[in-house]
Amino acid sequence: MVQLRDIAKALDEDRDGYEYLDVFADDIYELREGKLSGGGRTVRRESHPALTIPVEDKILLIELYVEQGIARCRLVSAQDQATESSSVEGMIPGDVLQRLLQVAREKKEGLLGGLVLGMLIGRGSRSPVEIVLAMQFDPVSKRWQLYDGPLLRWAKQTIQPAAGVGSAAST
Amino acid sequence: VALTELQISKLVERYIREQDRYGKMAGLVSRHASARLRDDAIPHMVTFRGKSPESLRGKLTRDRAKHSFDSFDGELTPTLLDLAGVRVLLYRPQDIEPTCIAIEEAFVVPAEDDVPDGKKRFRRDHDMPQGYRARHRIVTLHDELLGSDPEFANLKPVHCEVQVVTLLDHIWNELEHDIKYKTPDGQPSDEQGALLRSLRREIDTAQTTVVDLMDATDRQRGRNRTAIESAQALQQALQDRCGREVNGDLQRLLDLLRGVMREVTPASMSQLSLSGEDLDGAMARLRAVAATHPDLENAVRDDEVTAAIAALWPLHGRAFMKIVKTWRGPRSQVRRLIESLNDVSFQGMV
Repeated sequence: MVQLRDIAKALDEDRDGYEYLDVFADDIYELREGKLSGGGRTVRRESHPALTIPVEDKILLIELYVEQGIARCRLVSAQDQATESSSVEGMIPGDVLQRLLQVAREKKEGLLGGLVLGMLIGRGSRSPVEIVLAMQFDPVSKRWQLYDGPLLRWAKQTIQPAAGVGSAAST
Repeated sequence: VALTELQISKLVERYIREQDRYGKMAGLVSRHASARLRDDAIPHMVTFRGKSPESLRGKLTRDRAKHSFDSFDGELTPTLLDLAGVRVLLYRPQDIEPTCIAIEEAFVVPAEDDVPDGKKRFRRDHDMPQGYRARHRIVTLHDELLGSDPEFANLKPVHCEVQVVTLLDHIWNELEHDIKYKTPDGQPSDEQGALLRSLRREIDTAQTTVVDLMDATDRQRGRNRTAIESAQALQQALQDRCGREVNGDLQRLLDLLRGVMREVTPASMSQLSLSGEDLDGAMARLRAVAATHPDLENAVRDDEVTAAIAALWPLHGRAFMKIVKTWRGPRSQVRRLIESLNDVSFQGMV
C-alpha cells in the first residue's frame, strides 16, 4: 500500500511536469484503513466527492471517482484551500468510502496482486494533449518508478477517473 | 353530418385554449425519443410542433365530411391525433425499423387488434415505391413518466403523432405535400408529376450514397480507434498523419508513445504535433542546435522518427527521458538522441 505522504512526495518531485497522480483508492493506506488525519475538509464537486487534507507541509486535494474506484490526487496551495468557497470541515461519508473501496477492488480483477500502480498525468501549457505516465510504487524504497510491464495497456485504460475529466478537475 | 363553418370555428377556438398543452406534449415526446435514440446509437434529428390553429382550420375544412361535431365531446383527441407532432429524421433507411421499435418501447402505442376496415389509426406504415414514405406512430405517455412530474398530469389524455422518415424522403414528402394541400385540386400537373418521379429516382440513388458514406465513415472511425501495436502500424499511421514516407526506428518511437499516451491510436496521434509542417520545423530547429553540439549532431539522423521526437520534445521530453532510462541493452540511436536533447536542454533552445 502507498501512503498519502508518498503520493505528495511524488507529485512534489514532478511538480513541473505532472499535475495529478491517479491511483486505485484501496491502494491508499489512509483511505483503506479509515485513517485520514484531522484537518481535512470536504470539497463539493458536481459529480464526485473530494477532500483536501494536510500531508506534512503540503496539502493534497483528493478527488474520489466512486464508480471508477479511483482517487485523483494533486497538490494545492494553502491559498487554494482557503479560497475553496464550498469546503466544509469533516470527512467523506463512510458509505461513499466503502463503495469506492469495493469498486476499486472489483476494477483490479485480481490482476495486480500486491502491485501498486498509478498514473502521473500532465498536460502541456499550450496543448490539450494529456501525458499519461504509468508508475509503480516500490514499497521498500518508498519511491515511484516507471512501470512498463505487461499490464501497461490495461492499467492505462482502467486507472482513469472518466473520459475528459482532466480539464474539469482544477480547483 | 358534416362540420359547419361555425362548428369548425368553435373547435379551433377550443384548440387555441388548449394549444400550450399539445406543444408541451410534443416537446416532451421529442426529448424522450431523442434521448432513447441516442442511447441506441441511431443517428437522427428531431423536430416537434403543436399544430397551428390555421393548419387545424384547414384540416377540419378539408375533412369536414369525415367528422361529426358530437365526436369532439370532451377532448379534441383521440378524434384528432396529430395536434401534437414529432418528426424523427433519419439518415439511413435501415434505421427506420429499430427507431419504430424504440418509439413503441419508450411510449404507449394503443392496441388496435380489431380494426373493422383494416385502416389502423395508431400505426401506419407508408412505403409507396413512388409515393409518400414514412411511418406514423400515435403515442401517449407511460404512467411512470406521467407520474414523474406534476407538470405532466394534464398530458394523460393527449396523443402525439410521431413520424419516422429519412431526411431524403422528407424532402420528397414535403414537396408533394405542398402540391397536395396548397394547389386548387390537390393533384400534380403532368410536369409536376414527372418531376416528382424524377426526384424519387434521384433520392433513391442519393440514399444509397448516404448509406455507403456513413458505412465508410464508421469503418474509418473503427480504424482510428484501433490501437497501434506494431512498428508497421505506426509507420502507416504516421505516414497518414504527415503525408509522406516515414523511416527510422519506429519500434522505439512506438515504445515512447506507449509510455506517454493513454492509448496509441490514429485518433490520439492526430492530437500530437506530427504534421509534415511540424516535422520540418522541428528538424530545422534540431539541425540548428546540433550544429554547435557534436554529441547531438552524432545522434541526429535524417529520418522522420528523429524529427517526430524533436517535434514532441517540448511536451514529452521529460517523460521520454524517464522512459529511456528503463531501456536495457545497447544504447540505441533514439536513446542517444533523447539523452543528447536532454543534455543541451533542447526545449529551452528553440
